[in-house]
Amino acid sequence: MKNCFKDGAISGEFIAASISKHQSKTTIGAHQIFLGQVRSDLIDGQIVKGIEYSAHQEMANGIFHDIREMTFEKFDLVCMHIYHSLGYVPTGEICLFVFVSSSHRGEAMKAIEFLVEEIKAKVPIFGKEVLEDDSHVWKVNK
Amino acid sequence: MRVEFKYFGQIAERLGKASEELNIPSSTNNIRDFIVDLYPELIDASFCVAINYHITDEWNGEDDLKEVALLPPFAGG
Repeated sequence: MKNCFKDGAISGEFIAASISKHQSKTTIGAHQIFLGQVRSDLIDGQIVKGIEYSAHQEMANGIFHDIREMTFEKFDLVCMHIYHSLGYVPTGEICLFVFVSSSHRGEAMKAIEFLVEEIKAKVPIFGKEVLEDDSHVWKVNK
Repeated sequence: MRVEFKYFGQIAERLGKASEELNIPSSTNNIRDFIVDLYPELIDASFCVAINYHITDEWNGEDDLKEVALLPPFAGG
């Protein structure tokens, strides 16, 4: 089972390297990329300085697999990659990297939205929003 | 039967532990009722129950009960 988790923030270098690796796949005409970034929300008068992510990793990787399979069935894609952070990710850094590729742009554009919504709804990942005074609140996806 | 219970996020925080082994009577159908009876402080907590990675409160009493996970609201992405 593929492990979709990476420790800490997902770097720009990693994202750029992922894009570069697809240069040899010459049936691809379009990529769509979604990056989830930790936002500095204001909660109870305090700014969020980062999110500590945890997950039921075995279950989550199984669900990532199922979501991938469903997305490949639904859309005509050449490639798909999903990475999510575990551990602490400071505000401004990337915690989710979703990357789809297709021959023509329409499929990639439709697939990316579907994929991101499925991930946010179905994957057992939990987030502790850490505030300036190191207290925390638990994040809930809307 | 003895089953591993795994707790995550605010549930683990509230119970003060990430996992434990519990003895579930073979007559048990509703795992949520079982765990809330054991930990009444969870009565107002928001979570779903995953039995062998499948989200459901109900156990049919026949399948092998390998793992129960209490999953608070998801926050991925």
